[in-house]
Amino acid sequence: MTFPEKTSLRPSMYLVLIFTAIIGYDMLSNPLVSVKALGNSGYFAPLAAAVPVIAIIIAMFALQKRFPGKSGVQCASLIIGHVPAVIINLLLIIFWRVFAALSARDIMTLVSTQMLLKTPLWFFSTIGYLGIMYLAYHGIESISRFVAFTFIPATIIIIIVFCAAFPYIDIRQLLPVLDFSITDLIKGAFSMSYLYFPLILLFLITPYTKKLPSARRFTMAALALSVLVFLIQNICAIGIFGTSGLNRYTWPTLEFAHVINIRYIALEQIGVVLLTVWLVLTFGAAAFNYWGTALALSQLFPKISYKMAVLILALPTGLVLLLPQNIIDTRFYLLIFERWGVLAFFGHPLILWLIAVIRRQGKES
Amino acid sequence: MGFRSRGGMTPIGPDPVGNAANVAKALGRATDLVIRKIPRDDCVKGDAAADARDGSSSVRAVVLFLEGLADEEAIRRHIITPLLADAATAAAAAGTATAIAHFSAANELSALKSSTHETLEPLIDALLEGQVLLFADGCHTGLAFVMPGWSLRPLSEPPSEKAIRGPREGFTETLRENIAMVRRWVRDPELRVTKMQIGTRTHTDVAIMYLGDVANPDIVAEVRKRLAAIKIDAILEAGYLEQLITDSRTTLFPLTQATERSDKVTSAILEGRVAIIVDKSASAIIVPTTVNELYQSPEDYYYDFWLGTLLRVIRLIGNNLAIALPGLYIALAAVNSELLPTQLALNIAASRLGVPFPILLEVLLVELTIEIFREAGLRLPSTVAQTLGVVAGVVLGFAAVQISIVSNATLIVSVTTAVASFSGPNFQVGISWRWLKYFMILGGAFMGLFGIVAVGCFIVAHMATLQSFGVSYLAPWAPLQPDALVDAPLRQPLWLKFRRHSTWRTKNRRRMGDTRGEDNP
Amino acid sequence: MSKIKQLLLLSFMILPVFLLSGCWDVEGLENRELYTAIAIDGAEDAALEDRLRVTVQIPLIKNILPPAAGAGESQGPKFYTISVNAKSVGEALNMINDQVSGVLDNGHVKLVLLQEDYARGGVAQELDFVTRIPQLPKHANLLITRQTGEYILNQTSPKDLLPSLDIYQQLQLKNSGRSLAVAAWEFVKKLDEPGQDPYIPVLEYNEDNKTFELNGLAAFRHDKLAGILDTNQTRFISMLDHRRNDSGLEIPLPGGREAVFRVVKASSRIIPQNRQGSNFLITLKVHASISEFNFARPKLTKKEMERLQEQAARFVKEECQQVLSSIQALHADVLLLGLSCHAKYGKDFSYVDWREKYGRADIDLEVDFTIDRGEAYF
Repeated sequence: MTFPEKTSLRPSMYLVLIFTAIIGYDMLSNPLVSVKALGNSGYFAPLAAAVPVIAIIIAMFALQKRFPGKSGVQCASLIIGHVPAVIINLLLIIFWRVFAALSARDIMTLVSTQMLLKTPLWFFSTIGYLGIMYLAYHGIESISRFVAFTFIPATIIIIIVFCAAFPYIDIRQLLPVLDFSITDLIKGAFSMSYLYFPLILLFLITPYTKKLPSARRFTMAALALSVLVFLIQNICAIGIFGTSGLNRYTWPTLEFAHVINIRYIALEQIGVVLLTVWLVLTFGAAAFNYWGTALALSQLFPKISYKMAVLILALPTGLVLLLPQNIIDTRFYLLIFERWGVLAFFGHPLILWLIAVIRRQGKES
Repeated sequence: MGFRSRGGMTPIGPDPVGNAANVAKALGRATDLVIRKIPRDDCVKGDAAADARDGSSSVRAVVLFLEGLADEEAIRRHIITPLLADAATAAAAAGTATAIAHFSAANELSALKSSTHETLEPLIDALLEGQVLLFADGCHTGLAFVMPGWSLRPLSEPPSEKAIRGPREGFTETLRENIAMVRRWVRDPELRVTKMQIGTRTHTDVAIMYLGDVANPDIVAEVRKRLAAIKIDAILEAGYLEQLITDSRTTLFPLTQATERSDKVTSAILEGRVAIIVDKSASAIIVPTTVNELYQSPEDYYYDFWLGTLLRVIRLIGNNLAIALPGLYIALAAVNSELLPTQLALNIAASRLGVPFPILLEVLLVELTIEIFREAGLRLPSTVAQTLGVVAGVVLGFAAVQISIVSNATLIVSVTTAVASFSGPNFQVGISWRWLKYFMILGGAFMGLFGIVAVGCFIVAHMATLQSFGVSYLAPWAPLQPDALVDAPLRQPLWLKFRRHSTWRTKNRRRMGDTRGEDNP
Repeated sequence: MSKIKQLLLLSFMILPVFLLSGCWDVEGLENRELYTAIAIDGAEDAALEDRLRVTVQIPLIKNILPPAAGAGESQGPKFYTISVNAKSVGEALNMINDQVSGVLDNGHVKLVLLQEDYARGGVAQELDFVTRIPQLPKHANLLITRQTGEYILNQTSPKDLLPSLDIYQQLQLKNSGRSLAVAAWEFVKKLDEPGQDPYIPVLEYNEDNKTFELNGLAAFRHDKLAGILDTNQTRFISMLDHRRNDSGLEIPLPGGREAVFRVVKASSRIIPQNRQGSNFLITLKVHASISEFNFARPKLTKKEMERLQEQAARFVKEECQQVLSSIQALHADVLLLGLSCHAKYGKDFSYVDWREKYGRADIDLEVDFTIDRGEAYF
């Protein structure tokens, strides 16, 4: 009743939020992309993609240090001027929202295929999105609590399921280890960089902590943990199905969970357990994502509060969610965003920081 | 603030009978008001001349009390008898205004606690609280003596919070008894007890108890503020206060903790939380509360770490089963049946053959029946409760399965759920979980396992938005508090509880020193 | 906006969604026809357009639960089968769905039976449905049947179990030696990967004993059945392919004697010798415990133990080399030698014409046999 909404974040919350945002975004289908670039050694692709991301994270935190208390959206106005900043940020927000909606559509298709074959997509998408909106409406405090609550059990179960798949790996399908060229590695890194797009949200939440160095360490830890999860996941997928066998499946991670057959366990199939646990993480990630976009919009147009922005974004997001006809359409559009997103989500903070450095704007330490 | 709040500051006159008449008029000539006049010594001797005079002057003092509220034996021994005995000496002082001290001298009136007032209104309030009033001839002040005489319920174990081990003392309906119970646990001068009255008609006494050097002063101030802000005519039970001071009035999760156990209240106070005890209510309220507290019991600490942990984990599993089992059953039996082991799926299918209702309706029917039995069981006379329980539960269930109204599988699930809902130490919390169970049932029925996940996420999301007096409802999991996490859901070994948990943001976190003796390294 | 209004708005938005819904995916278990086995045979008249004969075994749920105590009598058949002719498995399943009173449920398939003769023509397209139906368990076991799958699925099990569950249990409990379990996903994966050939155990119904027997292994060349290995050869395949061998091993000894081993654990390593894939070395380490000598000899000396180990190693090597020759003759790379070559040489190794090269490859075998327990024990 009388305790106001808090928006400060402990540095340790960065670990939880960033990890959830990355893992809750695309954990199930990325092996398809990794084997296309690096074949048997596809498990290196997420690792290679994470290396340039470190520079992006450092740039984002450096930008926050130069402009303390300002989010990325607010920094842009100070660096490149108000009007260009509004235009670029608005495009970025729209781009990000559409991208997020398409990713959500991919997940909804997954749910439809695996769990609810006959139920119309609009029905359970609406239910899911209402929940996401509800959480986003209550702000970062509630989102961080939800994510913190679900993070440990969900991560443990996911890792247990991955480990349960180890006996089915044929190690020969993962060999030879370094059978690729540097060009292949760079291509792989580029094609897998979309996994780390959710880091753009750092741009918006970093002013919420006063302990920047600590927050940076925890963000790096989140990145490292995500890379570990992707590594294990790709090793399992490639080791079990092989590079050609993977292409049969739309969501290979889920399929390798399906092959786990443990006698005497209470459930006949484990794959759906992985899916349900991952959906919980996705719920938190989507709410964080949604709130971030709403906050960015409210910072761009100060007359709108983030709560109002959550409501404003609802209908357009819902429409984009229901636009594609099927998974092929969804993946087609997603590919476009995944390619151009590198410029938008990684280029934007990097370029802003470079301009700030060159023009000596902000506080120089 | 009672009668005084209605305005009016009627001064007390020198005539005790007139004062008594004013009191009687204010109470609408209540038939349970007892007015005992103490005559003058010369009047007692039957002086006709004195009798012929105005009645007020023939009365030395008037004693008033409400029948049933005051201790009549104490009144007789400590007020009436000394007054009568004093009548002879007072006769010498007849005609002069007798100072009030003459009557309250220790060797005349031996009541322990008294107060004096110069206006009628506070005295009427005192009368209504069960105190005994005394007006003396020629005095412009009135005396109120604390001599409670209402019936007290003997101490007993709370029926809804039974324990295998631990004290059996439950709170009663008397505030001072309850405060005394806590005082017996915490013999620390830092234990603060602050009283206030709430309820314009009931003037219910409410006490706030906390440790002054431990409890967070912001939380204490917030408690006081919320209690002071209550404008209501009556507080009949602690539950009224719970509903009025809670952070969110629309949630079904309890944001305060109610208990009848004195050890639970004491344990909470020692942790740095605040207890609110209400007169005429056997329940005390503890704030702040998190979801972590709702499945814990002080009994966990009366056993060693292994047993305590096992009990907690069992309770946690029981609570979760109570919420999720029927929904999961519907989801797995009607939507995502590929998850069930094949033999189990076939057995469930076989048991449901011939049942005319869809599974959702069947589950709701059985759940509703069990809820009705549960409510009826609370009100059944104990002599027939057991017999009727057997008849209703066993015979009815058996018959229902025989004629295929419900299936065996559904009955097993529903009964397990019902029993599991009592695994928690708090009856009130069990009721909240019952609501969640229905949401889960609907979620599972409409969207199978996805529905369960969606409802589960909704529930956790809602809990994430809640706080109790500034403390996150999901603490210590969210925000992550590692020092408190060791005690949730495991039970932290007692010999490791050096510091209070950071959840309650106490002033003083140190709790224990090194407990190792020379022989126990 | 006040909290009450928020709540009302939320309810207003959510409630109609529920009220307007029709629980599209809800169907009680008693209304589902959970088929536990599917058999794919060739139609009797191969010239017909509907070239497949598909049979499913569906449990009769009314006879599933045991009779109440005191009822005495048996309950009747535990299953029934439906067979249809169709162009594809998917079409057949749709036709069967039309014939049954409930909804055909794919979520509990345990066995997929392929008739031997039909499998010789290729099974890739017939097994496409296995990975396209998400609810169908990927770990459903594949079996080749000598008799038609329809015939097999109509036989009863001596145990009071559904026959398909009985066979599945046998495969899961043992999964070694003669009873190798091969999951559908494994088979399909090997079809997708270049140069990998799958194998499937062979199931037969013994009419004399009225039992289902696993007799041998069907080796495939890509998706076509190339040949059948007998039960003895199957044991050695399981040793070479890193599987357990709980069925034991009988080593013939000079003078008509025999040593019987149990708990036989084998680990093998395939070492390609060149990047062309023309020369391989397979090292096989076998550990076993003696369970019986057919001559009275409770205790062995150290020298006797070593001699026995040598004899066992020699025997295993001979048998394994015969098996290797057999599968090479079939041009079926069931031990994934090509994959081992690729694992070592990467892009330098080519899968082009691999099956031909494999058939001509020299495979050397080194066997190390260790007896873990040689003492008489009870």
